[in-house]
Amino acid sequence: MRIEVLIDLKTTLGEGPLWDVDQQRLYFIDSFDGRVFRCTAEGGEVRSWDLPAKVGSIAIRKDGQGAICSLATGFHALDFKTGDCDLITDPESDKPANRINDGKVDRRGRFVAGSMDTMEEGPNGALYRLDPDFSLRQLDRDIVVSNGPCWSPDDKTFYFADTWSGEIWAYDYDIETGAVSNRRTFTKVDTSGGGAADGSTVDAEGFLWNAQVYDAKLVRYAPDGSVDRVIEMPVNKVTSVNFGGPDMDILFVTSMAKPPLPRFPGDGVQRGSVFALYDLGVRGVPEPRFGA
Amino acid sequence: MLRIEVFSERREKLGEGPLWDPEAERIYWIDSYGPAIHRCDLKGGDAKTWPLPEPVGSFALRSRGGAVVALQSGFFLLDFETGALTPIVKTQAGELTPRMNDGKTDRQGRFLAGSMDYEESRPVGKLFRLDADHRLTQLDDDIICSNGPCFSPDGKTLYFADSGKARIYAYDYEPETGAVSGRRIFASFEKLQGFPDGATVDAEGYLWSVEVYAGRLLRFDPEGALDRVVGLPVFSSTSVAFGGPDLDIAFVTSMARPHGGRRHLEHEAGMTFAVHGLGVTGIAEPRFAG
Repeated sequence: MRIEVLIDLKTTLGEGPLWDVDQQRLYFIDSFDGRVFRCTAEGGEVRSWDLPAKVGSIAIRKDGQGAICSLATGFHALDFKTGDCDLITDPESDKPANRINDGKVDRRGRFVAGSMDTMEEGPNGALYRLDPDFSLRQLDRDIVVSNGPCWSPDDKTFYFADTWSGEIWAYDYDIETGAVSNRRTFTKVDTSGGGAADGSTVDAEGFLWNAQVYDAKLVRYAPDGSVDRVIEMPVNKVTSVNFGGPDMDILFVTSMAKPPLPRFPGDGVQRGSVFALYDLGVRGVPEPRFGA
Repeated sequence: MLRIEVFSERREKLGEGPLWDPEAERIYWIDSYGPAIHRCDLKGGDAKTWPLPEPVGSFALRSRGGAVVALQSGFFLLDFETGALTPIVKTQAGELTPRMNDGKTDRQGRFLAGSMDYEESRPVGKLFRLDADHRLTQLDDDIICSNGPCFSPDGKTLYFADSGKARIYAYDYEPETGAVSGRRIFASFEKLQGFPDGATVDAEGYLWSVEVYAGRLLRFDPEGALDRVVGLPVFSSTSVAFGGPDLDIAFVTSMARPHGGRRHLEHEAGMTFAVHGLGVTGIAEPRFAG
């Protein structure tokens, strides 16, 4: 096992690592600076796109020419070539204190993303599903901070966390319709070290990896919700995880340089780095692109 | 850039005391409850293990070859060729629990090592200095768990942690005589998660302490202010030493034995790590002159 700083970028709020298999590129975002980054598995050929607002997550579109971005101002379509970023729909235009946060694409190309209260206090957020035809459905509500949507390899379980609930939830997922039901506690997060569930991914064995922000921990949960494995990270504020690389066996981890809320302390010189973990003995599952 | 890798996949019950030999370019470490001393080169080659008959707290290489070893009951000389141990002096003879723990040579080649309460609750430990002529001097007492002795680059300050009291002390150290005085609290861990374990001083005179039961490397400036924190892959990290041809790799040991009755959740608990890219170099440890 080996942990390396892949890019010493000091992202204000690094999030949403996303490996695109076709392009063999890693995407990640700086939520606060409103930026999308892309690089190779080795951290080379870095390029970035500015977005018109804070960004919670992105999904690569089916043709690879652009991305769906969940911005503070609604779902947008980013054109990689021109940098244009056009509104698709804004479900929370009446909630200026909210922004859309973490999201991921199911294996039928739907983008599922949830919103958050930017002060991380009130249950004002909701979970949405953006279908390939750009129609939007609300899947759940009363959420403080949406994080870590991902699916079991058989698509029958959808995992999702409201960061400050102290839990990661599981729902039954109907891959035919994109409907969720039967929300229950998948696991209770050990919050004794000040941590909370942030971004997640499911590996090829069906185990869920979760970044526990403020507690420097990556935790791998078995499908029954028990803790299988913990990796302590060089920085406290790890934010999200995704497998990638040519063999899908590198775990990319984002972190934040400046806490968006001043109640959390700093992380020193490695703050905001993107990390790469090698030789974990585990592979990920390719992320689908958005679109039918 | 920072790179933390598993250096040795051996899961030590209580890995401790990493020590770089700059002449042969070998890294040594111990498993206190193996009990054993392990050694290999930077690529893991030329690996050798010396089993020991009692729990081992620390050791130092001797200028005449072999090592001086602090075992549970006192100081011994170890012959690397034959594996034979020769007792030098017993510590705290007749007392029930303390066992010898962490130690290091001063810049003149004396060996300082302290003892600890097995239960890590009573202040029955003492700090000793073993001189080149094998004479033993008690330097301090009232210690729960001795850890992390190390010296400023000029050899005039001794740092020494009592893990049980969650603090690192600094003492004025007399390089000519090996006498200590003026003990003060250098850094308190009361507001930190874990406890001070093994430590070393880098070439800039900053102290690196392993925060055990928190999995972090802490770098303190010479005034005791926290300068830098580097999280390690395991919660149960124990000790640190700089090594490699350029003395720029931090070797970090850890323990696999359960903590508080719970097994470790990290697969790498007990393994030894190499931390590259810290941008800092260490100081070669002198050999024991005796």
